[in-house]
Amino acid sequence: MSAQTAQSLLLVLVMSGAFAAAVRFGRLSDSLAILVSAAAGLLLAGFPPLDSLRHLVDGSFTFLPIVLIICSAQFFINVQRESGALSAMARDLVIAFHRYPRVLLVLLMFLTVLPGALTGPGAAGQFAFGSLVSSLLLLMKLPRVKVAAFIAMGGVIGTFAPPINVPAMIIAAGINMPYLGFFLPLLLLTVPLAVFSALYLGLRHLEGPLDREKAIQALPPIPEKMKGIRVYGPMILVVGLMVLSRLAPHSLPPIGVALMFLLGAAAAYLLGNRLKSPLAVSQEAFLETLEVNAVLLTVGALVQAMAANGVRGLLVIGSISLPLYVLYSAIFIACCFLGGVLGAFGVASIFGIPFMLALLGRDPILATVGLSIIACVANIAPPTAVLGKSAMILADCRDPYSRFLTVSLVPNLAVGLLGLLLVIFADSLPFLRL
Amino acid sequence: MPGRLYSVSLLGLALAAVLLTGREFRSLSEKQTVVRGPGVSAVTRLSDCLPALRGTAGDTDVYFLESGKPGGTLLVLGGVHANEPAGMLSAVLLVENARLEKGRMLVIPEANASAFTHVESAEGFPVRFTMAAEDGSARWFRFGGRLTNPVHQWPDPEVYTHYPSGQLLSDFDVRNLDRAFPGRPDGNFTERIAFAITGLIRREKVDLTIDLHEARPMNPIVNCVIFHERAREIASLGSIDLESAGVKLRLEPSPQNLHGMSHRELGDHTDTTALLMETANPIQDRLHGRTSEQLILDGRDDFFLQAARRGLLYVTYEGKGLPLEERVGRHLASLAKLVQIFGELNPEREIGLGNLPDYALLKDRGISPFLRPAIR
Repeated sequence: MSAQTAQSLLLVLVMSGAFAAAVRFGRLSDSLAILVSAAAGLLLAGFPPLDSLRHLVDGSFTFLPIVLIICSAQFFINVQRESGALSAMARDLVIAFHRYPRVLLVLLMFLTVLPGALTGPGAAGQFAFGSLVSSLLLLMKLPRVKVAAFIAMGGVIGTFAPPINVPAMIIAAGINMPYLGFFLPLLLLTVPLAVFSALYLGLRHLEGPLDREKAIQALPPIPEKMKGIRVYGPMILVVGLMVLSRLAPHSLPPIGVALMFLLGAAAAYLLGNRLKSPLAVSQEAFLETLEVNAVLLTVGALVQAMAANGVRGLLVIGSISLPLYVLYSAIFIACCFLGGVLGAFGVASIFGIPFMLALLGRDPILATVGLSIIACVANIAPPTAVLGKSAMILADCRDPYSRFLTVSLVPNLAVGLLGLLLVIFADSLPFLRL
Repeated sequence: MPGRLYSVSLLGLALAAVLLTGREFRSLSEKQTVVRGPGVSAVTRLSDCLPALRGTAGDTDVYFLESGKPGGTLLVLGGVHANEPAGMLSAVLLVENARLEKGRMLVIPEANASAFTHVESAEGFPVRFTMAAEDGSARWFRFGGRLTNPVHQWPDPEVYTHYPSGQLLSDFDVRNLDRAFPGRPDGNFTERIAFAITGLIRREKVDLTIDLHEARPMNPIVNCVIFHERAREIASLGSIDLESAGVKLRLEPSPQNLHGMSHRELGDHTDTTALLMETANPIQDRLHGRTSEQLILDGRDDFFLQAARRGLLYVTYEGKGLPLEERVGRHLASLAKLVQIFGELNPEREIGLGNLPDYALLKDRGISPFLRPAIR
């Protein structure tokens, strides 16, 4: 073992030890313990204190765009809930589909997938429709933890669903390949996985057609004026802005998803009656998302510390220099589990590109599709678990995260394994490229 | 500790961190020095080609080196990606040393000046590196980001749609100058920089454009020249000649369906003959160990040795690493050869480059003898 490898292994041990000690003895939250671990890794590697501080602060900006989306989307949802618009939408869907709960189940999954498919981050769909989907699934008697798993799966699938699969774009750019020819294979994987996930999580809880009146009565009271444009206006505005930004990218300035949600919330204030002050609603939204946002910010610092002190290099060389069949396991483990630290986009960049380069020679589009799909599972792996934790917030699920992971294991495993099979048999599946 | 005191203490620590690192962040806008060499006849600003850039972080110096004798015009781009120091430094050495014997040369060492004012989060890069000048005094250079500083262009769209091709690229590539060509005068900040460079090529009737880059050693597109169709013959002949001189330069045709890059778009949208060269830069790869100024300078890292033994690299990698002087030497030797062949194929547009730092000399004595003392 070389001195550099030994030093990097030592750093891994020290960083893990610092995290454990901060939680156990310092009684710090996960996010602060992550920061302690990152600081220990930098200082022990010999970075001067001010330089270490620079890395910590600089790294905490890594996931800032996602943090802004989470905060603004939660604000939007809380305003919608406050105005009664969410309940009104749930009422309308119950009226339309109460006789066909299976169809409703699958439709709700596609509704959650759609914004992510159009815009890239699956969180877009979660936040746009997650709360509405949550209300309906609860009416359909799904336990809260399964509701959270359902919404999280919508986010995971939405992240890789076509036309926009950002992890695939990142990997493709890393190997100088244009993002062309991805639509069909992604679509052929998205549809069955979405249907399977919806039915797996929901089917056993369905008890025939919904009792329409009972279901509507179970919803929070809806103000009388809450109809038509008052209900759907804000949501149409948000989804419309997302679609417009894709349709006319050179005519409209990129305002970002966070501002789209804020504009939606402003529209909800204009159309709603006697709502709580924006300050009060935003404070609630901030507190509800504080834990997930704090973890995202500090994990960014950790990722930067690992890149600076060489631990990232150790993980990459350790993963890609394995024999082929061990490499497949490494892809699965690195993407699904280490991805919990990096997030789907981070794992696509840090592991996806080297893995793809190690796999050069096989069908690059299908192999990239496979890797990108596996990378998306990272979004429910702790500690970041962006899609998992935000789905739990949306479903108001208070179960431990381990329970959520158990419930959502099978559909996520299906996604991960399908991605892995695609990587392994990339050259034997030409029909996916027709 | 009572809850409120705990919260206030944490807030105080956070504020102190912001103040301390904020000062460091502001210092990143301090410009590195490029000394006008004896061959420089004029220095203009890129914003002369697009006044909307004037006074912004995207404006940058354009160095003119003119022989006064008829011939062709060469444009050398360095720093399109500010985390690829051999490209920027080769351009700096041209400005500080070269003399034109025929035709003229335009050099932009910091093509994306905004990218030199930050480093990307999550990469853990150093922000500068220091070398000795010819008299032993210190010269520092900025190690920047691959992309435009988000302070100057933000937010990124969810997906980047290239203009005018409509090609889709990942969101962050919207700030990648080498995905923004040919650019738009009223586009985003990076597209404007690209448009100004395209405009410079048109205005100055540039015959030959060479864009100097670096790439990850694990990337197959490394130690190579990427050529537009019209530059095929120059690249092929250059590669053969360089091989006999001990410099292996792979040939990579510019993909016709991959848009935004200088070798594709400048070739398609102007009359220039467009080429792009890549050397291998270890700190760019995700594989490296601890980051440091030294890694920028010598490219020596044990993980790359391990990767080389397993056949995972596309460059020869040995214990001495990939020193910056060797990477700069490759660029300059290849550039000189390509310019020479361009002149042989187009005698009326020949460009005579003189007093270039020699590859063997650079490898032997390093970069310092060719760096002038930093006197602003």
